[in-house]
Amino acid sequence: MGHEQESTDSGSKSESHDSSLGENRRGFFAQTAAILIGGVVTVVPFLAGLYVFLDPLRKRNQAKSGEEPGGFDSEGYIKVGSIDSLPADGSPAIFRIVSDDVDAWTVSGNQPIGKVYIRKADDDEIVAFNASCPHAGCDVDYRPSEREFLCPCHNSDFSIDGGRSADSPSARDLDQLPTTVKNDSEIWVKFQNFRTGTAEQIPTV
Amino acid sequence: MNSILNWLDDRTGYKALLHETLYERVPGGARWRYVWGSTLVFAFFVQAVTGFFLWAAYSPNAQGAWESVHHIQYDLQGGWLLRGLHHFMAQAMVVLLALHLMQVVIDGAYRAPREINFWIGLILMQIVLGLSLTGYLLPWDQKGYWATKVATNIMGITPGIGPQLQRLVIGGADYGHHTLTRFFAIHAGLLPALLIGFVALHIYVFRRHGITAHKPDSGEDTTFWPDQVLRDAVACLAVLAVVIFLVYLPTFQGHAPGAHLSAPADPAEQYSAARPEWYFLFLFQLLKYFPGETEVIGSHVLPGGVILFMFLMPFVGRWKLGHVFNVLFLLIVMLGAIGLTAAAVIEDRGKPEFIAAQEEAERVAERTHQLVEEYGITTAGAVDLVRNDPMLHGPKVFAKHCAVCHSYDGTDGTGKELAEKPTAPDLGNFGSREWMRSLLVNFQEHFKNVEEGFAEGEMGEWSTDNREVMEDESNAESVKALVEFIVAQAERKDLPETDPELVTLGRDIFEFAELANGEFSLSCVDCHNMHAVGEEEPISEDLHAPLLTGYGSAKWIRQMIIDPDTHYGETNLMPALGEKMTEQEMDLLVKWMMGDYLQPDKKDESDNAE
Repeated sequence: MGHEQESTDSGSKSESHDSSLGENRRGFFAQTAAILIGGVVTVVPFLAGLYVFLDPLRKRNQAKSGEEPGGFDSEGYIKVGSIDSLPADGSPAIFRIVSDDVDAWTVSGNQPIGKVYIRKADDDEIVAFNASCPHAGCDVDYRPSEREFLCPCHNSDFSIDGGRSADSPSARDLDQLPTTVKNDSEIWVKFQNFRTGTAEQIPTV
Repeated sequence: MNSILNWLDDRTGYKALLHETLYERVPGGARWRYVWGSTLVFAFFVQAVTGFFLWAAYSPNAQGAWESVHHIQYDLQGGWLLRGLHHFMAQAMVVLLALHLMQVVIDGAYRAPREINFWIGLILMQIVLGLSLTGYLLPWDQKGYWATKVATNIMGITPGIGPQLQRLVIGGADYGHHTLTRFFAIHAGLLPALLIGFVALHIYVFRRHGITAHKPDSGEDTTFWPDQVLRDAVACLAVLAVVIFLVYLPTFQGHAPGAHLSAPADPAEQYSAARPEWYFLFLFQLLKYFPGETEVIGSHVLPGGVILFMFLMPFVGRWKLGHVFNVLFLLIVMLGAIGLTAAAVIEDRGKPEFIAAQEEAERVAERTHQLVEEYGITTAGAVDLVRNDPMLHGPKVFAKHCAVCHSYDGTDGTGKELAEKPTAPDLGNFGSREWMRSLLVNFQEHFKNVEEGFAEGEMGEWSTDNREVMEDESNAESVKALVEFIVAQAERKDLPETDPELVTLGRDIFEFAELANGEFSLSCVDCHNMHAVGEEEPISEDLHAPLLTGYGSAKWIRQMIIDPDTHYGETNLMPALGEKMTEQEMDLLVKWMMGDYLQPDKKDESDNAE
C-alpha cells in the first residue's frame, strides 16, 4: 500500500490503477475519517475561543434589570446643572454628565461619561447638544468669536443652533438632546450617544 | 485550479514539502503506540488557540487579573468553557508528556543517532512545566498566589544567585503588578515562542531519523498519511473528549462547570489550603523530608540531578545493560513521584485542619462570587469587597477581641473552640427575640457565665420575682409584646420584621408594667433609661440601670464596645475595647453582629423582592 501512495503525484485522493478495489475503499475510508476527525479537533478550540471573542456582538440585558444607572430617571434624563449657570447671551456652556461607569468588570460611581453643550435659545428654550462630533466622535469646541462649534479633528463646523455648514464633513447636524427643567431651575438632559458617520441618529447602546 | 496550484508550486515548492510531510515512511505499518507525539502537538495547538482568546480578555495587574478571569468565567458567554479547555488541557499535556517520555526511554529511542532529539525533548519538557508554573499564578486567586509564592521563594534559595533571581522573576521584593506582567510575558510570549521553535526542531530531527519502529518486520510498511494520521486524529479526539469531560466534571459534584477560581489573592489573608497543581505535588512533598538548611537538596539538588542524569541517558545507554539501567532509573523516578504524590494526598486527607481550610477556601470563593454579582467591582478590586464583608470578617474580629470572654454559638465566632471557658454570655443570638426573652424570664441562667455575682444583681432579682407572672399562659402575648418592643429598638433588618401592634402593646408594658393578667413588681422605666425609636420625648431618663435606648442597635453595640460604662454604669464588667480595635474592625464586627450584610442564602428572594 505504501508504494502505491508514494506513486500518487500530489498527495491527492487519486490511487494508482492497479490497486485492488478493497484497498482503495480502505484508503478512502481512512482519508475521509482522518480529515473529518482532524477537522473536528482542530475546529473545537477555535469555536470555543471565537464564541467568547464575539461576545460583544451579542446584546444582553445589563446585570440589573429595572434599575437605572446612577442619576438617570426612569425616562433616561439626568440632571446636569442649573439654569442660572447658563450665559444670558445665548452662548453655550459645557457640562459633564456624571453617572455610573461600567467597564467590563469595573463599576465606578460618579464618573464623567460624556459632555454636553447647553444654551438658552432666544425664546428661553433650553437647548442641549452632545459635545461629540457626529462625524467621527471628537469633542467639538465652541468658538465664541464666530459663535459656532468647530470640530478640531476634521473641521466640521456647526452653527450655534447645531446646523452643519455646507462644507462640513459631518453627515448630520450636532446631536440635539431632549431637555426638561425640574424644580424651577434644574436642567435635565436625556443623554445619549449616537453612531458617528451616519446621516441619521442611531443610538449606541 | 490546477494551473494555479502549479504556479504556486513553481514559486514555493509546496508540493514536495507536502509530500514529504504526508508520505513519511512508517516501517512495519501504522500503530496506536506512535500517537503520543502527535497528541502533544495537538495539546499545544489547543493551548495556543485557547490561550490567544483568553489573552484577549485577560488583564495582568493586581487589581484586574482576578477580576478579568472572573469576568471570563461568569460574564462572557462561553468563557467558562474556554478557560476550562485551557486549564485542563494543560494538565493533559503534562500527562501526555510523561507518557511520551516513558515510551521514548523504554523503546530506546533516545540512543544514537537520536540523542540530540532526546535532549530537545527534555528541553521541551522544561518549557511545558514552566508554562504550567507561570500559568497557575495568572488568575491571581488565593490558590495560585500562595502556591506560586512558595515556588518563587524556593527559587530564592538557589545557591549564589537565588535572591537576585527571585527579585528578577517577581519584579521586585514583593508580589504585585510586575509579578503578573512578568509572569504573563513569560507565559504568553517567551515560553510559547521557545516551545514553537523547539517543537519545530524536534519534528525536523525526528523526520531526519524516522520513527523508532516497534517490530518493523511484523507488518507491511506504510506512510504517515492516511493510516497513521487517522490514528493520531482519533487519539487527539480522545484527548479532547477527556478534557471536555474534565471541564464538566464539577457539575456532577453540584458546582459550576469549568476550572476553579478561588477568592482573589490577599497577602493579608492566611490561605491554609495552599497546594501546587497536582503534578507538582511530589516536589512539594519532597520538601517535607529536608528540614532546615538541607531544603536545597530537596528543591534543587535532587530534581536537578534527575534532569541532569536524563540528559546523560544517551551515553549511559551505549553500554551493555546501560539501557536497562536507564529504564529502571526512569521507572524508579516515576514510581517515586507517584509515591510522593500519593503520600501528599493521603496526608492532606487525614488532616482535619487541611480539610477545614479547603472548605473555608471554597466558602470564601463562593461568597466572593456572590458579592461581585451583587455589588460589582470597584477600582479597588474584588479583594476590597472581600476585606470589607462583615459576614467573612466580622467573625475574625470577634475571635480576636471578644472571644477572650464571650462565645458565639459555643465557638469563638469563626467556628473554632474557645481557648478558655467563657466568662460572659454567648452572643450567638444577641439582640434576637430569643435573647431578649431568655434575658427577661431567666436572667440568672442567661448570665450564668458572668462572674462577680452579676447574675444575682437587681435585674436577676427582678427576673426571679417576676418569672411566675411571665410564664403564666395568659401573659404569653404580653411578654411577646415586651420582647417585640425592645427588639424593635435595634431596627435590625436581618430578623423577621417587628409587628407594629405588638410593639405598641409592648411599649405600654415597658412603661406601665401591666400585663394581661397581673403586673411586674417594678416597671422597666423604674430603673432603665429609654427613648423609644420614633418618639419625641424619652420615656425615662437619668436612671442608673443599663441604657435601653436603641438596645442592640449598631449605635448601642458600638458604644458598648468603646465605653461599656456609659451603658452599664457601676455594674459593668466589660473592658473598653475602643482603642484596641481599628475603625474598620469595629465596623465589620458591629455589622456582622447586627446581621447587616448581604445574606448568603436569601439572595434569590431579595432579587425577587426588588
